[in-house]
Amino acid sequence: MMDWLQTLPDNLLVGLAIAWLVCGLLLNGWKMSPVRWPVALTALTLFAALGLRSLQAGYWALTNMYESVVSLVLGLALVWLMTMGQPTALKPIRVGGIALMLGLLGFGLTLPQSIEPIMPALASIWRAIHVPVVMLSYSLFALSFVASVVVLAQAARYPKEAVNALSPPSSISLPLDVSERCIRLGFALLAIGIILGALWANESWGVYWNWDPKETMALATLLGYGVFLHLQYSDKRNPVLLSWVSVAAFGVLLLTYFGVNVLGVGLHSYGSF
Amino acid sequence: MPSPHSTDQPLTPWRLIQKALFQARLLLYSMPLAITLLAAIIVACLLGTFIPQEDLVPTFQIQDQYGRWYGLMHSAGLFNVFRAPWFIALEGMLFLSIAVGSFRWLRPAYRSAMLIDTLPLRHIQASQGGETNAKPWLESTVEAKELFSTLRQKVRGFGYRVYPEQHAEGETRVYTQKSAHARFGPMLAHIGLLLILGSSVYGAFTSFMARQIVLPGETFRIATAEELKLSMPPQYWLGRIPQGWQVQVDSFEIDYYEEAPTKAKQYTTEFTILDASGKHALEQGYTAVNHPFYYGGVGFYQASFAPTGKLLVSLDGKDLTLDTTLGVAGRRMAIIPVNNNVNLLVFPFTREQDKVHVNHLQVFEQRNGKIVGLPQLADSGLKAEQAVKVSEGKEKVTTILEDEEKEVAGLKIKFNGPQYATGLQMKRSPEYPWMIAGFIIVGLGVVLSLWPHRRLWFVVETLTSDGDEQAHAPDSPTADSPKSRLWLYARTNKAKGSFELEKARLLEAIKLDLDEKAHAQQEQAKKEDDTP
Repeated sequence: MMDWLQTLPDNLLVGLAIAWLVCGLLLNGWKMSPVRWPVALTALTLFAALGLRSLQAGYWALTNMYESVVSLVLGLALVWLMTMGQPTALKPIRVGGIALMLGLLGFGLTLPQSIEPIMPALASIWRAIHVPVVMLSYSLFALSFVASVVVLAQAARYPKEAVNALSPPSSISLPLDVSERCIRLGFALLAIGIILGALWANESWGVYWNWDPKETMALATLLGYGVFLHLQYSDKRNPVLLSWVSVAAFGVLLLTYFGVNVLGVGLHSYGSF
Repeated sequence: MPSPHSTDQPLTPWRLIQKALFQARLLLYSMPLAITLLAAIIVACLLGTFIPQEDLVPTFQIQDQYGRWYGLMHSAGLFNVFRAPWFIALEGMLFLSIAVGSFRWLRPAYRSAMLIDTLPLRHIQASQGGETNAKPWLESTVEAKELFSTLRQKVRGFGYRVYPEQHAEGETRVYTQKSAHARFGPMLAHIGLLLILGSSVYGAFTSFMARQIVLPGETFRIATAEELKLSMPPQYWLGRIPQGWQVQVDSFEIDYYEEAPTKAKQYTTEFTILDASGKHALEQGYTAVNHPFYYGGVGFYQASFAPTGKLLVSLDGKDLTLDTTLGVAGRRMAIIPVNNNVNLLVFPFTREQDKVHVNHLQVFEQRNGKIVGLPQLADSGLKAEQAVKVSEGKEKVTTILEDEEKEVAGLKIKFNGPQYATGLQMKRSPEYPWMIAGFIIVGLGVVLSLWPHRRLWFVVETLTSDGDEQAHAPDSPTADSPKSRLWLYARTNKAKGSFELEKARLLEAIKLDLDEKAHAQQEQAKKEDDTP
């Protein structure tokens, strides 16, 4: 079958998800309270796209960059829905989160999308556990990035003393809270994901840890968010510093997710594009 | 015993050491050091990822890329970051920091979680800048007893555990908390990390890894494997290499996808564990990618494979392995003698057909020393590929695809495929159970850390027309005059924003309930007044 015909159904669904997101962006930008149904439909549509692709491929479609980006956006939509049900559902985070989803899906459509037979190293039940856990942690970190940018933007509007006060203004403390909660859960999931990956590596390659670029950068990402968590426990909590650390850690995550794939070396080189 | 940093004692060498150790301990569990070490390791990870590493890229390529900087960067360990002494020192420092920090934080975290203590009103007022500045959380027209009852019910509704109240100094004090278990999360995560680091040290002294490229039918012992790597120099290594058995490889198979015949689906090696004499089978098994096999504490992994250069064929139904060590015109080939005058020259090829690489043989007849249909091959020195191209048009060459049988010079030749040797990796890791335990503890620790530990200390104050509360009470008490006050001191170890929201929601819920109670009281009072 021709490649474009093979991927047409899930491309149509991804296109539909983009339409839902545009709708969600407009409604959430317009209304004061969260409008969740377009994002819920996006999540359902992307789940259907990945499900359809999995049926076509004969395995759970989470093996290449395109599928990974689609699942990242699916995770981000779920995290958005969970977080935006809270009273901390601030408009800039809602809109920023949807804009990020749109950007990522648009990028996903530029990636190679052909369905290929799976290589032996990836044919394992561990893939169905390790990869979604890591992707969900990335989704949480993506939303924490949006929240941190909001904190930095809001902090610029207040004097330094007010920002660093024991009780900073709610337009700072609430997005910071979203960021912290996303990072705490994301950190737990990434740590568990790395552990699961180490167990899989031991079964597949006979080594837990190989200082492979993807492994190494995943560790660097975890440590980056570890810095955030340690700063959070320190006596002098500085929202601006915490947010800059969150943004920097997200930069390390982007290098892990995209940068390492550009290198195309190491045991995870099948992810290169 | 005097503190090592006290200055009222003369400085002896022992005191100096004590002082240095004390300072080192202070430094090791300090948060800035932990953060600095984490940041330094992140930088090292970035360097080790984006600067080519000698494990992954050939040295000559790195030399070409970095030219005259190569020597300097090499001596700084930048091409082998994760084995560089400075990186190992960073890891060691982090290990120490985690170890010292974990035990330093153990007690306060335990105390925070387990200490159930109420606070007196004066303490709460002091935390708000003293009695004159302090403000109660709420005032109510209902009696203190009713207020306390509402408080207990609502706080419970928010998931807090309410401990028995204390009555002292005319105040009712109560302590509530939720998610106390979260205090143990970071501690558990650090203890798990220590276990992982400790077990990797144990593994370094006891584990080994061996690799062997082996042909089906061959036997090998781990002690004499082609590559046997102890994780330590032999004089320090404390492990054991199995001696009482050997491994015989029975078969090696590569399965391909039907829809993509060149894409491997699985690599499988079947083998038999034989006793030391090689006469008795102890166990049979197989290993494939993602399916290791374990025997005698040793894991067998399907690590690689390699073409041996030999060809598996059947001649008139009889299986043969053809050696292709002979070369003609730069190509490897095999010779099958048919009779005194005739030989078959067999060239292995792969070619791309519809994006698929197809293994096949090109078979030429050689009669009386001359290649039929290809006289120029021996003389002109043409490359074999060109020669084949020339001859194919003249149909003087026979092409036999894999699993295909054809007759050449009266012989039925079936090509069963090229021969591959399997690449096995053997590993013994006595630290494995400890490593798993460490992973589980870290996982449990990070999950426990998700919850914020929230603590609320309340004091319910009764307002009367005399005593200390006189100043706050109205001169002439009415039904609308406050009869009780609620004071709050609150702490959370994380997520302060949502904690503030939770407190606001709790206050709202309490107020609503108290308003209803006050209304009911007023209604009751009215009824009593109306009653003649």
